[in-house]
Amino acid sequence: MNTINNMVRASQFTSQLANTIFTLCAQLKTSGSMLEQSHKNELNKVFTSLRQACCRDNGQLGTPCRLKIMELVELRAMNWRTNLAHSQYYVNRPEGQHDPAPTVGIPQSSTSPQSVASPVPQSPQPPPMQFVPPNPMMFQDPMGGAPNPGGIFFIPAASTWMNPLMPMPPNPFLPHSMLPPDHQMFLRQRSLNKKPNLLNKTLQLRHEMIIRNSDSGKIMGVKGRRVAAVEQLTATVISFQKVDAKSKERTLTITASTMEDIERAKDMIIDTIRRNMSPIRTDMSIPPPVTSSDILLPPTQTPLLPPEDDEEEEEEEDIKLEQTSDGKLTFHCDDPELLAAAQEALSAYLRVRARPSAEEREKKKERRKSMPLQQNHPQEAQVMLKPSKTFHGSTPNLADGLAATTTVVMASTVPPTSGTVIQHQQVAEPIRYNRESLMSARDTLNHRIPSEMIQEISRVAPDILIA
Amino acid sequence: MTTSIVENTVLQPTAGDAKTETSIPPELLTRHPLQNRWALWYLKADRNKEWEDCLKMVSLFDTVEDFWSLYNHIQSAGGLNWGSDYYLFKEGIKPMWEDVNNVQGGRWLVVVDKQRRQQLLDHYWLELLMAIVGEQFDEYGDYVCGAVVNVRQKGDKVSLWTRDATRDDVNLRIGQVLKQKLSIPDTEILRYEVHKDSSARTSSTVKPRICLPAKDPTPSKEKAASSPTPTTPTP
Repeated sequence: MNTINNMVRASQFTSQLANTIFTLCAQLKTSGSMLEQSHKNELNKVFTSLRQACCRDNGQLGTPCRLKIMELVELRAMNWRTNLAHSQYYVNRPEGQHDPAPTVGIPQSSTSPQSVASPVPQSPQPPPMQFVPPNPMMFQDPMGGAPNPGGIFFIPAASTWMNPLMPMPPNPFLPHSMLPPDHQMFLRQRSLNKKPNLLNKTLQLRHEMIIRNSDSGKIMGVKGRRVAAVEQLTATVISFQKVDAKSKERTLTITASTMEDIERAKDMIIDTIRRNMSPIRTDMSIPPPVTSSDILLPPTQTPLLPPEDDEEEEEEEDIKLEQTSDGKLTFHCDDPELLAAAQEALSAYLRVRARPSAEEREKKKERRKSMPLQQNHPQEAQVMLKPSKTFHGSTPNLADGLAATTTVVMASTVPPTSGTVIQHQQVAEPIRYNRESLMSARDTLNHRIPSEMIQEISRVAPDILIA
Repeated sequence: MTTSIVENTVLQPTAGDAKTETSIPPELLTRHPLQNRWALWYLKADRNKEWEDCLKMVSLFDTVEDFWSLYNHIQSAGGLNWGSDYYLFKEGIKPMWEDVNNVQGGRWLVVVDKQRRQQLLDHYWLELLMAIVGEQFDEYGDYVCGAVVNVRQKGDKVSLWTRDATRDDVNLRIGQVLKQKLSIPDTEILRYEVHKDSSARTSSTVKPRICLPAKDPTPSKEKAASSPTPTTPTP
């Protein structure tokens, strides 16, 4: 190891070094995991040297030697446990082959820029995924418009220095659907690799986007003509991941030499999907009545609305947004669901942004109640609606009652004097009643059945009611 | 454990409150709130209907008073027709496997001896109800979803549904409390079944994940957690 360290430092890229490296590789393959525990520092040093060797070497070491180094670096990154894809790759590699394949995805290129770039010794077990952008999710729209329905979620990129032959773990930042699923175009994008391919010397950018598998046909076009046209127009190469027919998603890889080309190709693909939306989806989104809803904004708050918020809504094809001088914001939309979603988004935004006073909030709540929006979700409301009637009927203004009176002491063990309202403890301790207190409550307390409860039972299940 | 603390119900705004503005009778002012709001469901056996259509939510309550009002005015479990069920679940949890709160869960199953149903069934059911609405499961109340009684000719069943079948420690503790509250003797074995196993079963029996007392000769109850009974909930 020391020999290697010294020789690399002295830039002596001789066949002797190559031989030493070969020997070391062979040894480490078997004893690497052991050395990892006992001689971590030495390993770190020699790996730094090896990476520097790859960096500074001008071909003297030869491809086979570099391959060996790569294999070793990857092996260590995998914690000295080899996997089939990994070993197969290196076994199938003809030793004499000169130019390693230029594609970004294969191990040489994916590992070498990383190792070259990192000045610190590579940690023994690099995290499997590294996320590039600091903010986990941002919106970008395909047409410069709203995040809906063609919204794109930018997923933080998984940088390629993970061996692409290994199965990708599921992306933890997969966004929850923020819109009704049928309005969501389902486009996710991953991996914005601005990784120049050093070996190829020409700048190659690779971009991955995830599409619905069912959209593949639209993007390809008849006999692949459409995608071929896109490739030609934008000077890109678009490749489709091979997937099972049943798969829901499919990864597209766009390769180009400039970011603009990628963006243009992406836009064209998104446009293609938008234009060819399945008729079923469109039909579902056209209910006959035109609904509209208002949110009253206090005039003072209106300026707080940032321009992008307005733009988002206005440029959206399906939702029209009007803002009148008195601070009223009006949505027009012929799809109640979409309207609801838009309103939801806006109210959520306003809640965070404007923090209206309790009174204003209350007012808004009142308005919301009277809006047609509520009727759009009968299936959700139904479940709770019926019983809550019963409940409120049976316990009129429970809250008021509690505020007016004070306390409740169930157990005989506790003197009534201690029964003042203790409201802070409830956070930690749940309200408990043991058997004795409940049983005594059964005998002593007034539990005349509220007539509402009787009515409800006799309506729902008359056969269980005891007169 | 013996005290109860007034819950600040103002924190749970309810949409309908404003609508009912009837004058409040004084006796209603003192009420004993429960930690959770509970829904009683009733399933009336009807072979001509889908299972879900037979299931009806009867009432919701969140005070001790309303709990007793309801309990005292409905048929006891033993008085139901064969094939009927009662369910008492926390508000928002549907009494079915498919509910998101139940899908990962399981149940402690108490099989009621056919010969002794007269004396046991109603006792088990009421004790279980009081235990759950009174939050008697130590710090694990949040893991409790609800309780079920199935009235069956071939043998009634009472069960306590919990949220997470993988938490053996939680479920074991809940099972111990259940066993104690229902005064179930050691001769009767309580079984914890994973819903996923039950729904995917091919035979009539499901391999229990936990047994109480543990089936194997380990005498101590604590051993049940590490007993080899746990099965992976494969579909």
